[in-house]
Amino acid sequence: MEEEKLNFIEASFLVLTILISHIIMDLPNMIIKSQNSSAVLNVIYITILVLIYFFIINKLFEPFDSKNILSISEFVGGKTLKVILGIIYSLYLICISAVILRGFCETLKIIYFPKAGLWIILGIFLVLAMLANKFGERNIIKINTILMPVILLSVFVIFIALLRNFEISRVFPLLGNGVKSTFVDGALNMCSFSGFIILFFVRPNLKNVKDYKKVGIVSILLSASYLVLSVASSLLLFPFLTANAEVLSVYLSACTIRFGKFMPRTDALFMFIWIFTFISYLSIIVSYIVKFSKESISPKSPSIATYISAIAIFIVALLPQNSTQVHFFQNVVYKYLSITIVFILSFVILLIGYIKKKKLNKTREIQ
Amino acid sequence: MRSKKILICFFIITLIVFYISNYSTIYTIDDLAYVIGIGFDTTDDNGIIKLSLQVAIPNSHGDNQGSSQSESSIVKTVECNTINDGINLINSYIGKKLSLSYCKVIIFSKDIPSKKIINYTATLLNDVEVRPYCSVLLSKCEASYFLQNSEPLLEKLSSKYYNSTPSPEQTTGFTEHINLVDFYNDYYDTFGDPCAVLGDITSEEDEKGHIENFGIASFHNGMLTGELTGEETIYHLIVTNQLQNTVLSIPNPFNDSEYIALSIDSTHTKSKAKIVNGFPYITCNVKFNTRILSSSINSDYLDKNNLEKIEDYANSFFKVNIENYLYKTSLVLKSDIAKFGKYGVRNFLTWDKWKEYDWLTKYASSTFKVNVDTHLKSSYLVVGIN
Repeated sequence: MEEEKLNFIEASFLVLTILISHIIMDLPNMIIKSQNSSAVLNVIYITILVLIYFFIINKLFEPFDSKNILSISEFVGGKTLKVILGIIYSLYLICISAVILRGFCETLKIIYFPKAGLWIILGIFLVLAMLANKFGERNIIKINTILMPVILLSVFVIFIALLRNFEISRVFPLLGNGVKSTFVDGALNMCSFSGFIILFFVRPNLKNVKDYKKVGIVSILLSASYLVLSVASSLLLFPFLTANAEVLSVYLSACTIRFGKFMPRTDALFMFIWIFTFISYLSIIVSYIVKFSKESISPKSPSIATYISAIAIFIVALLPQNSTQVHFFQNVVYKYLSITIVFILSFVILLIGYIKKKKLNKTREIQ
Repeated sequence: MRSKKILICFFIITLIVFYISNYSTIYTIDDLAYVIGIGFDTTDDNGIIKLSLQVAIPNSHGDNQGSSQSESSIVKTVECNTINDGINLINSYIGKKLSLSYCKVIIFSKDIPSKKIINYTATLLNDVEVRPYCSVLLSKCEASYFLQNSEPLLEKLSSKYYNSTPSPEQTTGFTEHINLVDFYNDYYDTFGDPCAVLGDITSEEDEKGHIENFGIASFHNGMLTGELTGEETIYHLIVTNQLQNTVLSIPNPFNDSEYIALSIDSTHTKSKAKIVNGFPYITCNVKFNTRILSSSINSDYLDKNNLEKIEDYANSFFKVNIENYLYKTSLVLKSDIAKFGKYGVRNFLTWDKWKEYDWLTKYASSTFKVNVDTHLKSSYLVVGIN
């Protein structure tokens, strides 16, 4: 079966879903805790770093036309490297999506389903993700294209609704914990863009490969705007010393919205929208894990890969025993894992592939 | 094949829905008892809380048996170890599940140690049902007495009164609207100190008591430091740019024995804070737009000279009163309730330097400079006799 070809809008929204879902997790809180008042400045700084990184990646991809990083890894190190990398990326996506899903389901359980078992809430999301994959990738992409503008609008609405409650002085002192903390240690907050990993795989799915640069820039800028709005909503609303909540910081911001006496509670509406975001996110993650397995291990039946990846996400999501472990994974393990796999390992593979390709082309030219 | 997939999906979704319905908590309006006010008092034993809940009666039939206020609500008071213990106990008396989702006011008795107040606030904010925008009030009388007698003059239902009362900064300016989340955040905020509305129940002989919310109470370092009167609260709202409308009277510059009432329509205050010789130096430039409310047979508000004289007099009058308010917060209350720290922080580049400076302690040694510019637009209908 031929892989689905995406136009510019579909591809941008696909990447955006992954980036935004990672941000909903609890990244605004994590950034504010580490940066204090320089959180917004830090987000702008890491956006610039990620854009520079993307321009480099785009350049490194150029000799390979419409190949993804797994195909390039095969070119670099043979089938073995391809299989190893496929497994690494699959495990990475399973772990990250499991932790994100766990964090979101904990919030749902605390607020709306205190009596329900966590495994039921997790299971429902994963069953829906499996069902979506059974209907095919085309349907996932179409639904995602419809949902994305609604999700973007919801964040924008939260920001506008909270505007009058913001205290602009909370961005002072400008440098927060100092220059080193903001610009050196703060560079690790690039992990907020760990959804960037999809950009390494979306290239062969594009109808026009030349759209790749536009897709990357648009999705990075839009998700950066989303991250700035989420961080600003929390930072300018709460004195950051009190931003230590169990539930999502974006939800806490939504709780304080009041549209007069007519609509005193709007947080339920936003949670409703974010539930669909997560279903879409999980569907995309499962479909990409299936793609990795097809490329690297080539299973007899792709359905088995769908079920196994969903079950793996379910098991990993249930592993943390309490919220302390969840927070540890979200704030520590996630950070270093994302930097290592998304920004270092992938870059190294691409760079080696680029150098090897250039040498090969030179050799051919000489011959 | 496609229809088979759709049937399987439908079957799975139906299973999920039926399974979830076992865990859903569907309560109708008759299954819940709605708490509209929560009160906290002290007891002789430090570890015991005296908790009062004002519960709304949805269908009142005029039966006062067992109710301690009016027909619209009842107040139950218990002594307990923790807030949730108390709610549990009252749940057993009421016979319905208590819902805190519609709680409009939280009242703390003035006698409660301030550190306990913040602990109670944190516990309430931790509750998923309690909305962050319910009002916080410090009561001069016992909180249970306040709830039992919280009958507003012109409104039959306390719940409606708590819900529909316009914010004081829109009408009188004699107190401020302070909500739960702001009170909690201000406690930890390094830009300023928290404050709470001062409430009381006033009653005359042979008459039932009525709510009187007047003035604000200030805190510093977790301790209650003092109170502002109603008039001082107006200046507090002016300085913090919260005042929308009020009436202030100034002595008549043309007649010592009379006063002129000024309607203040809008105020705009621009504040700055610098660090001079290690201490805060705060400037406030206040602009008023006013109209004259009181009129007399001899008043002539069309004369430019008269208006200018009243403006100059108003400028001096307000300048003195605002400075008095500012120095009271600094020297007497030692509490930066106007949150000048948000201007002071701009003098620092890093968070460590800001914390090291300790603005909230240094505020007690602040110097203030106030400039007032009153723009008098004359009066309303009677402008004078030529």
